[in-house]
Amino acid sequence: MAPQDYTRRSWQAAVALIAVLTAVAFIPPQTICGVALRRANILSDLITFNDRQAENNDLLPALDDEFTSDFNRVVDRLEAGEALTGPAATIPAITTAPVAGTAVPPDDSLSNAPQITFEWSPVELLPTDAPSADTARLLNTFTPIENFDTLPDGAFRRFCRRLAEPQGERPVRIAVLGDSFIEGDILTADLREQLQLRYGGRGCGFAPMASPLTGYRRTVRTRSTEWTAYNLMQRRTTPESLRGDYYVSGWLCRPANGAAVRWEGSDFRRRIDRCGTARLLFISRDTSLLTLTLNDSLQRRFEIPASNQVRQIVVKAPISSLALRIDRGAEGFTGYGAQFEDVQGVTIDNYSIRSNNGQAIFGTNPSIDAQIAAMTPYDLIILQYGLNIMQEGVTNYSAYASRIEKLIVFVRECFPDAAILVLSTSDRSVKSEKGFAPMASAPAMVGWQRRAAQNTGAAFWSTYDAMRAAGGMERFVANGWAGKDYTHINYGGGRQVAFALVDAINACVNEARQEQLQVEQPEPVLDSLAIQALDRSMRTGPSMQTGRPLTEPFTAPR
Amino acid sequence: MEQSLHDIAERLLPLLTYDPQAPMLFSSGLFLFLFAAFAFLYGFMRRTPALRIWYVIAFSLYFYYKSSGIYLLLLVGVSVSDFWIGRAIAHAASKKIRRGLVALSITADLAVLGYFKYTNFFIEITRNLFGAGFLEFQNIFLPVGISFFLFQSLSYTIDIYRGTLQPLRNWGDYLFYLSFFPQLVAGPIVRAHDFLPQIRQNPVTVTREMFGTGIFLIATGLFKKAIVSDYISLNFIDRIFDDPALYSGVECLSAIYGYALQIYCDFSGYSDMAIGLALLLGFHFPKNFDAPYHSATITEFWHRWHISLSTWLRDYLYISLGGNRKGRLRTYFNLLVTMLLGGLWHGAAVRFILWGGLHGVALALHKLWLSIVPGAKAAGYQMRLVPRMIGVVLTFHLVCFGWLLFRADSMRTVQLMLHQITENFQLSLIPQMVTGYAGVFALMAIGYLLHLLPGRADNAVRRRVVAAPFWAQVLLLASVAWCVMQVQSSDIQPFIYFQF
Repeated sequence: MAPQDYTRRSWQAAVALIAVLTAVAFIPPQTICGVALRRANILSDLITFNDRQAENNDLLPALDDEFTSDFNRVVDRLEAGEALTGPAATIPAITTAPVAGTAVPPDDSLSNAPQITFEWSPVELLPTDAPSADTARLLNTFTPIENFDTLPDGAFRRFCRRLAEPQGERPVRIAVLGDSFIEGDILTADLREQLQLRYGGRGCGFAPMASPLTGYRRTVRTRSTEWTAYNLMQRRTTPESLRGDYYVSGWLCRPANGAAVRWEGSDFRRRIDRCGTARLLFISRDTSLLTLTLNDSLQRRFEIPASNQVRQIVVKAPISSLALRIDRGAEGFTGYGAQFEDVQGVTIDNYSIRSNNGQAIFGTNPSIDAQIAAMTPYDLIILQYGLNIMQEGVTNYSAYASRIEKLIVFVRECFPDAAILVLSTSDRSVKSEKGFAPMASAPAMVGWQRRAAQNTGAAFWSTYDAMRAAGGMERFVANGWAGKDYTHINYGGGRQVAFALVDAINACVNEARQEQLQVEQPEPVLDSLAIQALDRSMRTGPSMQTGRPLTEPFTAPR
Repeated sequence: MEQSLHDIAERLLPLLTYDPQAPMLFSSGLFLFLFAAFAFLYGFMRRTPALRIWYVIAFSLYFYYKSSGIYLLLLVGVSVSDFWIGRAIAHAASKKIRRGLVALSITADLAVLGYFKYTNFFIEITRNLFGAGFLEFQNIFLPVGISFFLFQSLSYTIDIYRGTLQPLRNWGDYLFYLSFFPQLVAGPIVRAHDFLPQIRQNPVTVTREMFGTGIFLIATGLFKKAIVSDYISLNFIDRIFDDPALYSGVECLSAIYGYALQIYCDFSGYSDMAIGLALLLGFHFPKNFDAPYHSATITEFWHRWHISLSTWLRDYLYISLGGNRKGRLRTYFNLLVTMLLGGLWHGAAVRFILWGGLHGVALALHKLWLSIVPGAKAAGYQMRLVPRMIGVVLTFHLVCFGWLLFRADSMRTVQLMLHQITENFQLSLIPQMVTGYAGVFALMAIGYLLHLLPGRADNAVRRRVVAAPFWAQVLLLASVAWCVMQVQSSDIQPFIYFQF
């Protein structure tokens, strides 16, 4: 007898499998022993189920992290009308100090005030690069900046006017405070490149003395030895003596004697291979001896007297590389980093702290923030947060939005000259039964962030809309612009978002230029000849044929 | 449920037509439905070979159309060309003509492969050499599975030329061989002399053993491909290879070990499903992977890894170059060339050539070692336990280094991964890493553990599945499919920062 044949059993098995899986598809999502099980829908290409459990007004669970007490302290002081930065006397004025190494005359009236700035200008500066007059848009899509500051002389308009007419003795300074989304100079690398190409300027902005991320950041090569880096997010494990030294950069670096760091320009983006100015920011509580090496050739030693104030060494020269060695006094030394910029143009500092939803900024020392701001006054502070607070299904972020409002107030207190631009959360995808889909709570978060900007009169730009216009996170991942967590972009994605932001800033700058022109142009006077010409044109109506509005010659250009 | 019948009907048609973004995979729900429909009629064609052949061809061509659209004509074109060349070789009067004809077949097939797969690679090389304006990149679609079916087709004409195979009389049979859907997209590369005798079985017979083994292979293949490989790559490995500088050395090393498992599970899992499906239809394919990380030497590795490719390269490239018959130096050279080209077969990029080069050099060195060290063994089963274990560990790490070259998108990534492993290892992060990525490490542990089990255990489970009642077999498949769907719709593991 021939053995039984099983050819037809394949079909029976396939049909039985379909039957079982189709039945399973109707089992709604459940949680068994704490494990959340999704609906296993074999028919997901044809039939979808509405499994969203959360209602639209799901509230974000109470915000409680180690920065909450800082937040409460800030709120208490704001409500009491106290200045966050403490008495004015604690914020030293910048002195035009004599070159270090030269003794301060003992009868000098300033002899009791610590020397804040140490200058070194060993070489003639190169002329700054001329800004290009290019006004072309970088992308086809456009996401505008919404400026909620209605004052004609509001901070954001001031910033735009400064960009429109770059002049003066210092560059236009932008600081971008954000989370892991911009870590490693992502987004800011291209924002900086494009703004420097258009408005002049050089240099990669802020670079810490040491951090575990220096290998990742490609816009500056940093080689550090014998430094210990501390991160604001781990403030609890930071040594007691340093805990109060945090600046918005989020990093503190404690050297050992003999510790060194060398920064070198990079050709990863244009205009960051060399620059004209470097500012080294640090606190030297003991007298310290530092050696600076410029372009691996010129060397200079600085003896820094002990003080609790933030100090800076300003190097003015064509800088391709700069090295710092701590020869003595490391025990009382707190290093922040160096800002690489030019005499004019634009400079952008990337201050990213991973896992920060914005609140960690309350944990910085406002006095130190203000001291550094006094040395390098910012014209614009961009706040990029929200990614770390979003949760699928949660749409009510009112508590978070109120903290963002306080954050804006806090930042304004620390950086009084700066305009604030709130960037919304970015697009993010989550897994669904049909693959990847945009996170539904993102638009809600964008709305709350917009509301926070509106309530505080800040400017707002929707990163989310800009990314959606470029195809959204799924397209970013498909193009290799974002990581496979469907949350973080890389340098490629950063370029796309930066281009969109540059277009938006340029539009505001152009508007500022036009407003400026309008102020400068004399009011058109309708004399009798002009009235006759107008009458003629109305009768013949050439402008109607071309569709141009009749009043155009007499309206202000927009 | 939110849809009306009208909505469902509207969604159905695009689902069934060509979509380059959604190639047909055995692990998709759509394939299950189509296979069920196909298998129903197939069951009635056991004794009608001609009808059965054309029925399977039609389904296979549709399967190919779903992934590659109009390029199914390429598949048909290659089958026509090599079928007729094969016949002409068999009937040619002189050796010269036969040689010319086989050269024609090889040239035509390699030209097709070269055009679709390597044009932009060579343009990139010329641009690097002569500047960006020298040649412009072309927008060329890479038809799915082209490397597999062209190699199959070459084995047919070369075997006829060598006199080891009789040409087919019927073009349909040849098209069936090239297009047979289980192995069409990702192999195994089935040789003509293994497969052709099975085409006209009359009647087609699927024994209980074949059916049960088929179910077992599909279930294990699904587990390897759609659970282990897909989950660990998306949630751990890809992100580390994308930005190694963001991670500590211990994470980078885990990503390399993970990738070794991922690529094995991905490739062998798909092969298992293909072999299993072929068994359900009454066809036997040779084994393609044989627990490759059990290898104690690199030579043994290539007897266990992607066997259908390594034997193809041995028989049609290495032997054609002279194999080991032309002196020791020439043997090493032949090995190196074979592996370099084998590397290039995997993809058009320098990293694949480097990977092939590494294996070529390692194979040549091992051959040299065997010839100069008395008592050196070629494979683990000839060794004692301790040398064998040392050999397994060393071979695994050599292979892992190869995978690093294979997976990294640039030499910068390779450099960064090695830098992090050597300079920033951070062993203390292991507990955090394992708990933070619990799902990933659990699957990796299960994957390696199952891989390390001896072949006996594998066979024992397989026999159990064969002996199991029908409902149990269906439930086995259903539970694996359910797990696949859970994994596919699970949340993405967010980034976890361990470094500080």
